[in-house]
Amino acid sequence: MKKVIMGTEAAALAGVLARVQVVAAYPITPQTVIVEQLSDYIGRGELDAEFLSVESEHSAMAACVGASATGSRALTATSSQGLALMHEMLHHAAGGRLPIVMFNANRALSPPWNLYCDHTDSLSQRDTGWVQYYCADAQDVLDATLIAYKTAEQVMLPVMLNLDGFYLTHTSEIVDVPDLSDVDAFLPPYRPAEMVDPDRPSTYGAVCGADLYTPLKFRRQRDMLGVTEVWSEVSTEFAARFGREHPPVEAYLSADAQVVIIAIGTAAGAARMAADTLRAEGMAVGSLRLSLMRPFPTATVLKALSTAKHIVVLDRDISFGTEGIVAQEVKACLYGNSSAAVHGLVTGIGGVDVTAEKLAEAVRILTDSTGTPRLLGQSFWAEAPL
Amino acid sequence: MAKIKIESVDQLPIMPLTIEDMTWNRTGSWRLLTPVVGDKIPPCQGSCPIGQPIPEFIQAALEGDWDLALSQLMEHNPLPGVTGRLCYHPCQAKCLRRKMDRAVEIKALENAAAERGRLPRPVKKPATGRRVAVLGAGLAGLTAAYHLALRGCQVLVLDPAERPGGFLNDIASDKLPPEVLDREVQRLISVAGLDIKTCMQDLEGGPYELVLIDRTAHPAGSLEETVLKKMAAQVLDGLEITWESSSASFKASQVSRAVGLGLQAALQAERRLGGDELVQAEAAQPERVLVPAAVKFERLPDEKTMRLEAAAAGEPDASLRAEAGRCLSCGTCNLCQSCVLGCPDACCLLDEEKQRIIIDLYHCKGCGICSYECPRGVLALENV
Repeated sequence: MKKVIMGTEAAALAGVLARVQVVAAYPITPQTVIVEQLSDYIGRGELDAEFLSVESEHSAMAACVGASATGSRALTATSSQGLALMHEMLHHAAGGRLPIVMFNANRALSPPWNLYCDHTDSLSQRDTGWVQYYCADAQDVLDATLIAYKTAEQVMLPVMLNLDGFYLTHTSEIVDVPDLSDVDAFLPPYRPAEMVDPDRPSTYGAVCGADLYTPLKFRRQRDMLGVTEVWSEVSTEFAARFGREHPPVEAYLSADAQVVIIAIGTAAGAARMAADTLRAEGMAVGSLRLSLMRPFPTATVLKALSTAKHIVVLDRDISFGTEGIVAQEVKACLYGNSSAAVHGLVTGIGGVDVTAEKLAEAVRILTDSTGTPRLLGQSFWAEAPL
Repeated sequence: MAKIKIESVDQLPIMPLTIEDMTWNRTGSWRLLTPVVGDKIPPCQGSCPIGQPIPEFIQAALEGDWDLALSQLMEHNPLPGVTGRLCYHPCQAKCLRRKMDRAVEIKALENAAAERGRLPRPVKKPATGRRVAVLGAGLAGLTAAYHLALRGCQVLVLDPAERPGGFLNDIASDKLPPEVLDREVQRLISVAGLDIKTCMQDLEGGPYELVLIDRTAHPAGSLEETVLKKMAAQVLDGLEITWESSSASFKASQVSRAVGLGLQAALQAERRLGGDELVQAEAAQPERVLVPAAVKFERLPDEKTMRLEAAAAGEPDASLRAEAGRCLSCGTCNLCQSCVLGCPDACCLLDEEKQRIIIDLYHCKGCGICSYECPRGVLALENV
């Protein structure tokens, strides 16, 4: 059934379709609609789940950790400051190997106070061991949630689904909502092989000596690196069943591209449009949308960038003192594998729109050196500082 | 703990779970404060100046046995219909149910017991032949007389006013209707078997082993008080009941304090008369009632409190009994197992055989969650 819904509504609906059993959340703009709607679904009896109103995001994640450890499918949603407050528990969820799925509505961190889109909140949590997926549109939100649970429960790692604040959370789009019975066939109930069980007393998260700590971390890294492949498999299975693909990397006109624009989240659409514009001008431009940021899909990215001479990496974030975080990731991926020039482009932070025109102009400036690059550190800032 | 040899990481659990249980790790050694399960005086009862057995009488109300409820109140309080109307009920301020939703309407239930109970049967001791006179038929004097009579004394109450009850006769009739006061006083007299003489100008009918003088019966400077003083002047040895502070004067809301004073005076008189049965009776642990598991735990809306008049008259028994069903019977463990659920270390355990809660002190870290979760205040952290 097709519906016109916002990204947040798609997220809540995905929670219903996934038959989540525990929702623990604290409201925060622009995520609030997700938990409001989930509590409505639960209140109306349309979703058989426990809704925990907690006193903070830290507690929300702690509750999800407990729920997941006892074998429940757990869900939460947060944004910006809330995600920052959750930081400690994010490590707990990943280290506990708990397949929790969380929506994060990307929003700028304060101060100064700003509610609009910015990726620094989630990207500054990239080392917590969560799988990070950046959604492109409302359909992607709904579908990726189902893929995320299936992947998470296979690899026993938590997944953070990121929605660009307002651009995705509060924009209504046509979304094809699958039937619950079809989703049930794709996503069976969560039946973990291991869980905290009173009939078999054990201690969860107990002290561990050096002899086991390193092996456990090593195994987690091994399993995390394998997520790209598992996600691809699950995504392929999803596509076979529902006809929509959500791969770890979405390449556009990249096969022969001399210039590739890389973006995450909704700006990938503008990147594709910019590529079209520049193709019309005779430049061989393509684009890449990195859906997965963790684990970083290195092999796929390298393959897609094999013909590129210039790579423009769009960052809706900044790591103060170096450059945009996505640019760093791309550079680390390319090191020793490519001689392409990587241009960091910081744009669209704190509510500035990323348009195809702006991206095309940035590509022109950055690639033929006739313009005047405005560099700050190693990044080009598309919006001029005053 | 057996040593387990791990050959590869894949043999380890995926989740950071211990392979066996962790009971070898006796975390009880970290404990500073220790949870102790023990019956307590319920906070409502502890804050009552008369020390009425509130959970017990509410249990009787829950069962619809209003005679028993009234009897239990009248073991301590001879005038529950008066205190039920006038007392400000500090018991409700201490009600532990407030932590969950709102206090139990003890006031309404007390009043209902006074209205609906017909045949109170407080324990009455055989006659001892001791003769006691009480000068002043105020609340305190009547209470003292009542308790001494229940303990086997032959008691005569004398008052210069036309009606017994002292200052209670001056209370506005919407707060305390005269017919209610009459009924309460008559019930007190008949239950205890008192002899009351009003309009008395002089001390008569002696000799008495003890004379109790109720200085709180009438307002300072009133005619009645003057007469009482004159009568008291004839007494060589006696006990006086006075407000603790000289400046204190009677307020309607202080009725329970006056009854409490009367109860204390009776205790003192009992000692003076050489009998210690009363003292022993007070010291003995009351037999506590277990409220059945049917206690309602769900939070109730913050609705308007039950109206006193409704409780007295038109209120159907069912709603009063529903209110009684909210009483947690604090101070007594009824094995609700909130502590068992709350303990993060599974140290609160139900001993099925002995039907009691036991604490695994080898592993209890003394976090106190059990004490916080215990709805009845039975589990307390102590420095042992």
